[in-house]
Amino acid sequence: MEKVYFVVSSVTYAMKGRRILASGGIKSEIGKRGRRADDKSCRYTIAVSSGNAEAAERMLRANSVRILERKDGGTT
Amino acid sequence: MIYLDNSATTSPKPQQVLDASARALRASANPGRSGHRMSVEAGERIYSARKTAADLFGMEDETRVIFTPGCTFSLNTAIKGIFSKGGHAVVSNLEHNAVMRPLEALRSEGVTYTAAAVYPGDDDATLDSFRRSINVNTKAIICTHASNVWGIRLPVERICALAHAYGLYMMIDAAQSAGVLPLDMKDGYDIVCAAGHKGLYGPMGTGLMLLSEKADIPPLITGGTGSGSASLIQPQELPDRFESGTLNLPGIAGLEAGISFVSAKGKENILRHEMSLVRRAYKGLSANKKVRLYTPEPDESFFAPVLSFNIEGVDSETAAAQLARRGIAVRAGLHCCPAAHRALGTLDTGAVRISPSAFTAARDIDRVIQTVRELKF
Repeated sequence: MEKVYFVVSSVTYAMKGRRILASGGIKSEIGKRGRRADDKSCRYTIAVSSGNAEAAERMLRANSVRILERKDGGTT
Repeated sequence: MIYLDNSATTSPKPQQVLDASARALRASANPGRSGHRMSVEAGERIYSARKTAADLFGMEDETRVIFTPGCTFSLNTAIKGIFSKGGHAVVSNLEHNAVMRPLEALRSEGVTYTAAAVYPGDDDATLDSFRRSINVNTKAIICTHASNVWGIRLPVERICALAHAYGLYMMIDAAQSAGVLPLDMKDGYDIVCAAGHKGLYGPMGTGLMLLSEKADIPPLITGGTGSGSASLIQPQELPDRFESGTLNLPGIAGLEAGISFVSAKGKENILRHEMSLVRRAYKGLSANKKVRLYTPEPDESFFAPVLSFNIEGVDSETAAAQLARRGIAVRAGLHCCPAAHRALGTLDTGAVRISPSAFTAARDIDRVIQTVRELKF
């Protein structure tokens, strides 16, 4: 399944994001995987299926979870 | 042992606190540092505790709950943050050394303070006293919610309104009140500092600093946060700004269990229970001609469940030692709070303090009353 990764600044926002998405019925996974060689800055990702990405992004932004970057692509 | 030293730390801790801390110790990784399952689960435990604490104190944004090693650390962070560029503070005349020593330490940097007198049972007079202590350089009012010596409760809601009318920070030392007295961040407090191991029933080494949206202060310490590591500048986002270094996961897991214990019992029920015990102690001790009490009979509107007394002609430490020999644990001396003793005239003698918890029974109080009656010096 193709995934979309939302990069957030810390584990706190990753957890907050996951709870917000769960409350809206969107399953997500927390990880910490930089997808570029220069991505070494201790950031966490919230991964959702690509089909839920738009709704997830809206929910995160509406609940003050700052998305530092959105990375489309990648499969599990 | 009858334990009546709960103002120092509550004991026993609820079973779920012991279980939660033990679980965290058995299987814990560093929260917020790595991407493996154990670290993510540890991060989830911390986040869950943050949310639980936010709920207890009426906060919508759990990222404004800061975990600290204790109330003293929280107070130091807040005081040194607010007064990093000087200024004047208004405090009450009942403040603990956790407030007074940081302020004294800042004197060399030009920080000054005024101690406003508190009038037990007369909130109007107390409020006037705070108002008169404000000057053009005042940046904040810092006051205890309840005296750790006398249980005297300050009208913090009204003092908060006063502070905001003058554009000041309102900061509360809730060491003795968190988990016992009503305390809701929606009432407008800017910074609330609390101990995790007292009325919240968590392990020692835990504390909270609760920040309003207005509270914008620098951290006391800086370092690794597991976020923004490529930069040498401390992250400004909350809670990371204030949480450098590995968090105390076993302690915080226990603290969450303690807060859940308080929520399940109901703060109001705990307060009612403890106040009934303190009133029972007051009545019993006041019938003893050898005992000196310093406050009116504790009423819930004006007092928290803490009571101090002396036995005429007996040093407070001697009295406490005699009680300890008879299986009763109390605290004597100055309770790290010379200001409160000065205010009620016991700076030379100290006082014997009894403070119940949710686990204290009426028979424990009766035993204290009886034992004090039997003491011979």
